[in-house]
Amino acid sequence: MTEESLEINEADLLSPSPEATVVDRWTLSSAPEESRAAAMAWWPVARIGLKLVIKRWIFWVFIALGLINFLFFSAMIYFLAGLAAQLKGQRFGEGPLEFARNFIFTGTGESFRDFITSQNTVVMLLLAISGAVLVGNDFRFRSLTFYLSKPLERWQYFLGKLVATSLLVSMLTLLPCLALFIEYGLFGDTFDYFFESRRILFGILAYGLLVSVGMSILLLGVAALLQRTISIVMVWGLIFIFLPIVTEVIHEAAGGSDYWKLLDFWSLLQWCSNAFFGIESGLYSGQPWCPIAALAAWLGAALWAFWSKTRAVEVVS
Amino acid sequence: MNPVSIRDLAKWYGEIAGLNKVNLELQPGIIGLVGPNGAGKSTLMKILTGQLKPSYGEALIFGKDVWKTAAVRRRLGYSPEGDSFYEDMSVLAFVRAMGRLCGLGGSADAFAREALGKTGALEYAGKRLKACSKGMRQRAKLAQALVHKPDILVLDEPLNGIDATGRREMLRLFEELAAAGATVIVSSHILEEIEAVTSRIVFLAQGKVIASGALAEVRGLLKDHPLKLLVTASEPRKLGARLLESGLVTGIVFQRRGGELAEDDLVLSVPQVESFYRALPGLVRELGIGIDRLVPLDASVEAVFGYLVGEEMGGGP
Repeated sequence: MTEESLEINEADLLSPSPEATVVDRWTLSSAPEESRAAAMAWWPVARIGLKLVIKRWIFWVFIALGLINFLFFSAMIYFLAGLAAQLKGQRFGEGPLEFARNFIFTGTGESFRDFITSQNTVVMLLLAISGAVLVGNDFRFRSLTFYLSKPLERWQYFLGKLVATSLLVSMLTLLPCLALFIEYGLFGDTFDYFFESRRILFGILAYGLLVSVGMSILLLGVAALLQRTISIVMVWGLIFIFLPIVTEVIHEAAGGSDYWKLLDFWSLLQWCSNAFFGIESGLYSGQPWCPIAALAAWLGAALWAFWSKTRAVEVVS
Repeated sequence: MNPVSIRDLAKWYGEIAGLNKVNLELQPGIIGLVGPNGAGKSTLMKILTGQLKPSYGEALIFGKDVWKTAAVRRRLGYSPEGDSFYEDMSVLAFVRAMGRLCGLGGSADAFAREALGKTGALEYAGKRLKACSKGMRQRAKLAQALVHKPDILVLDEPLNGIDATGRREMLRLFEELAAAGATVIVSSHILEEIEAVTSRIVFLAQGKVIASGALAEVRGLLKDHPLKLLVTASEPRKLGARLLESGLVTGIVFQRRGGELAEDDLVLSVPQVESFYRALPGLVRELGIGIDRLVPLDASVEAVFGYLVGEEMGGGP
């Protein structure tokens, strides 16, 4: 033992100060009026997620891409309405109009379905890029600890993330499609279109919600498992680009057996959209419960992946 | 009701015991968690903050199981060891967002500013987290734990990366919070600093609590390790002889200073500390000598922990 080690005592320097006896009542447990209702605890999670994404320029690029398609459809509705008004009563007037309607935008279930489906490509790209920001980084950098130590149930964390992702997707699919539906109805001579097209409205809402929620659940599962953007993009590409090609090839090789199509998430969404809009299609000819079960299996697997990752907060290696 | 009750708590990671039958009752004040890497500190903190499910037993916050009752976590604040932030957020936005997660609604901004003021981080509230130094980030982390004014604070290495002046401020803050009725549980490897402010220390090793209580009490229980006291006296040989004769000490070593024998320094082995301190003034008066210095050499957290671990392993330090 040396003299120096005894004389320099850091603990003395850090001893409690006499003025450290202060203070006002610090704890908040007696002020419940400051607290948000527990049932809405998921909303701040969604809000944080949305803020994180909309701060990135790439998000606005995808929104702009989605908007181009929307503006095109919207302009065509306007153009057709104008054309219809101009050609009304004229000789040969209905002929060119019908011709144009067949090609562009007819206000039918097929056209709205096709609009959402065409937006799905942008949605797929947006989610692939946003997955790490929305979910993956929480696991990768262990930000999850900030959520799980707060008065939040795990399902509320999940719901918050799901709402944030679904809102992003619906900004590109459901909401613009509804806007197109309203626009189309308003350009008619009467409002009968709205009353006659309740099935179409149901189709838009159901398909839009399925795309928004279904793809979001899938993303949450993939992002929780893989965490890094590059890995998420690769698996996303595997699901949405490679898998449809492979299932098509197997489908052909297997003598046209429709069961192979059930592996393809896109096909399942498409099958559902046809069912929602009441459109006949040759996508799948078997029992209707099979595509529903296949879709449920996809979403169930994603939910399980997400759930298992939030249950197991790693603290030891 | 104690703020924190831990009953028969065990956590297993496969065949590795993270925690093994831990029982603790913690009252308001500053409680230090001490143990080497892998002792179970992080596991205990994660269970205590509802992030991990115990394999057995329960962790109760004000009588409610923290794993099963998320709402009770409103009374908890947790500052994790890791630096896992949303880097694009400003310090204020981060703390405000964490406040919202704790149930603060419109008042989250005011609470966030107050918490940042308490931790000395208000001056850089508008700075992005990615531009903050380690010390600033540490203060931001503390602020998010304090933002909702919890009754219980669980702080994992809260002094890491903070300079000496900042550490003194933080320790003063902990004292203020404890004086205001909060239970502050601190884990730190800077043992001297913990020692300076804690009212109780919990020693953990290999997933078990090997001792718990005020440092002096725990030290007093180590009967096999007599307290070593350094004494600088005017007539050391006379004092030493009298102490040996009285049976108050079991051994005396002359302290070497700078390689030469310095007879004015004695290192005493004191088995009964309280008896020694009671008898010493009388002996000094009786001998008519002066004592310049009386310093315990092995009553620090580090020394006590060394003895405890040695005993736990079945031998001396």
